[in-house]
Amino acid sequence: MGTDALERVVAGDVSGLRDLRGLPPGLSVDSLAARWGPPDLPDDPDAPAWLGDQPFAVRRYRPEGSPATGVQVWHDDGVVVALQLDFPAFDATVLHNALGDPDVVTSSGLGTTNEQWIHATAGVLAHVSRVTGEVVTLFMVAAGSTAALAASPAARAERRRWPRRTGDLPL
Amino acid sequence: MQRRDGARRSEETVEAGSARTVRSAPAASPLLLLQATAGNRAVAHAVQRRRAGDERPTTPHVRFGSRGPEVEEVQASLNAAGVTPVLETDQIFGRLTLANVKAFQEMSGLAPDGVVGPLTREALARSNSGGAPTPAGEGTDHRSGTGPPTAQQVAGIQAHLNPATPGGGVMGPWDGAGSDAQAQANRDALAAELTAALEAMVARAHPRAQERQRLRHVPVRDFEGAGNQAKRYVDATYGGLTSAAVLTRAQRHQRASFSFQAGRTLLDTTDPSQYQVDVADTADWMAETGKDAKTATRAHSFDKSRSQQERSFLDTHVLAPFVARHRAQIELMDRYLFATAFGGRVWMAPVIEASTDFPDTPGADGSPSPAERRARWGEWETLVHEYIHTLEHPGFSDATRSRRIMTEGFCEMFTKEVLEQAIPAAKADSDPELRKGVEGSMPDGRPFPGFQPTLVPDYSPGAYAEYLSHAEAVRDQLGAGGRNAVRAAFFTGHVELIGLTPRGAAATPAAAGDDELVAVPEGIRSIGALAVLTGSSEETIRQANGNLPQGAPLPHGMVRVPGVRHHVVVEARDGRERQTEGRAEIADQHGVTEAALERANPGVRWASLTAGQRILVPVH
Repeated sequence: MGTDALERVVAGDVSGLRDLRGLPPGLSVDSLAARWGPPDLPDDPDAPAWLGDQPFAVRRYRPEGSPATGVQVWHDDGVVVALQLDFPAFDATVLHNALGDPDVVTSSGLGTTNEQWIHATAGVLAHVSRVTGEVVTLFMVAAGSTAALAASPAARAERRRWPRRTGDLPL
Repeated sequence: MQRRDGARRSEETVEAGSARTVRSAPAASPLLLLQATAGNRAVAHAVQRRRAGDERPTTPHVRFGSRGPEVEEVQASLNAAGVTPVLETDQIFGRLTLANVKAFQEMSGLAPDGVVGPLTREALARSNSGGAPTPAGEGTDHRSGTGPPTAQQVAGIQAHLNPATPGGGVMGPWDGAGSDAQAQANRDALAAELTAALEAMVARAHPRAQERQRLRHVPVRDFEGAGNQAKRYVDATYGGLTSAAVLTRAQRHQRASFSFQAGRTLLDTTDPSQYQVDVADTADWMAETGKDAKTATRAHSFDKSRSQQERSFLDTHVLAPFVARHRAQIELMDRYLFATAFGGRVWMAPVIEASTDFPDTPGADGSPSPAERRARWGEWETLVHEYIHTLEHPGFSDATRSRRIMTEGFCEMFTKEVLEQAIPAAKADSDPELRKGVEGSMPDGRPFPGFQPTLVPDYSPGAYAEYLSHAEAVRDQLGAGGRNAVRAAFFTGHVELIGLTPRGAAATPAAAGDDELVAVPEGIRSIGALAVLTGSSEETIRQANGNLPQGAPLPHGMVRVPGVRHHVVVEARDGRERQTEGRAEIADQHGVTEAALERANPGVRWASLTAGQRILVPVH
């Protein structure tokens, strides 16, 4: 399935994108822990994180000395549902060259200037800025039908922004 | 005979889906007290126990063949009501008791099925008390004064929720939408005006971000106390209502266990390992919220969320070149001037700003510097707003359609309500727990000396003043019940009270007074019985329905009962579960007893209410 490709992408090598085939079904956090060791930020059972309207546990792996890259593992009782790959924003043509046209482009909950590219067979949900042409957030989930991926919790991730309230933003 | 069978079904249905007859406790304070003394987990357990309790039948139905103290109580009540022959209170429901129950039911306008359920009990109680109805009210009525908005109110609300759309009644179509030369000129003008507005905003804001970047950074942990005091004040204000909201188990668990914890729920925007910037999203926010940018978009009747053409114009002709020119500046602004929420977590910039009035010099007694104390009080106010975001009901979220007037304006409206009470208390230093929570305390637990009221910033809605004004206008459209209506919409998902469908469209308006029209339930035969059921009086009902004479038969169809209202059942959903409101939540929201609700709605299957179902709330 391209476990090696996943490892390469997680390590920041975007060329690994072309070999991605989605998360293996039933991938467990234990198997990731066996491969990657303990996370730098473990689960917090009292603070579930949400993808869209669904709560999950989340743990984070961050390569030492590389604060802006790494992977967040979203899981449901130990079964991985999504890997959120963290990296500096990169040109979406890299993703396009690797995976071709997205199967469908939908709205993104991570900002109104983004759109979401769904590559169903690769199990990739990429939030791409229409303004900069960059991939700003990338989730990897199990491969499946376009409809299944579009309905998956990771496809419904949301972010809200609001300014500080103490007059720090002169408008 | 048909009617009699129907009534019997009603009684048994009530029995099958029955729960407690009397609610366990007033809504909020016991849970808040429990939280304060035993923590969030204890509250979660209590809530779970309470929900489990919803399924337990309590007051048993009594019928032919029943035995026990409940039968004795019924026999005594029948005797007290004057039904003859007088029964021996032997705790055995035999033929004589059955005959007297039926006779009493006939007298009371109930179907004579011989089963003593909630309606018959109520009639007996009322008879025994000389006709006075059993009180239906209990606890706080969070829905007082609310009702379905009229056509005029719906139109007014729409205008404030959608000030930039033609449907909102304010703006016409975009002047740059056509393909002729004038439209092109208008597009060019808008691009130039918006770009100038954004450039000016960067010129003002970027130095502010640089200034904040140079400030002393402290661990985000130092603001946990401010966050948790913010939570305490919000819970004290809205806890009674939020605890009456229907939620899924996961949503309920998250709320019950939520606290501001550094590295988990409270994170640092200035730390690249904790926060990824999004320059395009930041620029888009500036174009939507900046004062001059708004002036430009209004002048051209431009709305980026109205059409693909408008969205694409903004992205391509304004934001893309702007971001390309100012990327580094916008990144810094994103890190230092914004707070962000994502996936149940909150990000902020933990920096300390010194000034002449508030120098960054720690006290000799170990107290934080005045600058740091001021920063903590400022974040306390910010985190009131951010914590309120976490209490937005999923039913409200479904209806927002990304309208910032709903997501931010409503949130700020409640922030203002809390802070207008809390800031004077903070300035007066009348709550030692608050000050110690925000500022920290001496090793022996005493608060730090040297508190000054000026350490607590005055209230300001900041960048959200305009969204706030629209939200408050929505509230004010709804008159005296407006405050309860907007609260019920935001915290319990009852968007019908602000004239919206569950998906956020304008709802079909109600005619004035429609909410008081009651469909007479099967088995109710007299105005007296309807009065028992609705908590009203015979005289009130007779007067409201054309001054019917005493002894007049119950009108067919709909009967007007002043003072009743209808509750529209809502649900909460997450990816795994749907939860529909139950009797306990409805009772809590309206401040009525569950028994009164049960009595008013014979035949309702409480264990399986459906979204959109209407429940009669009796006069209380």
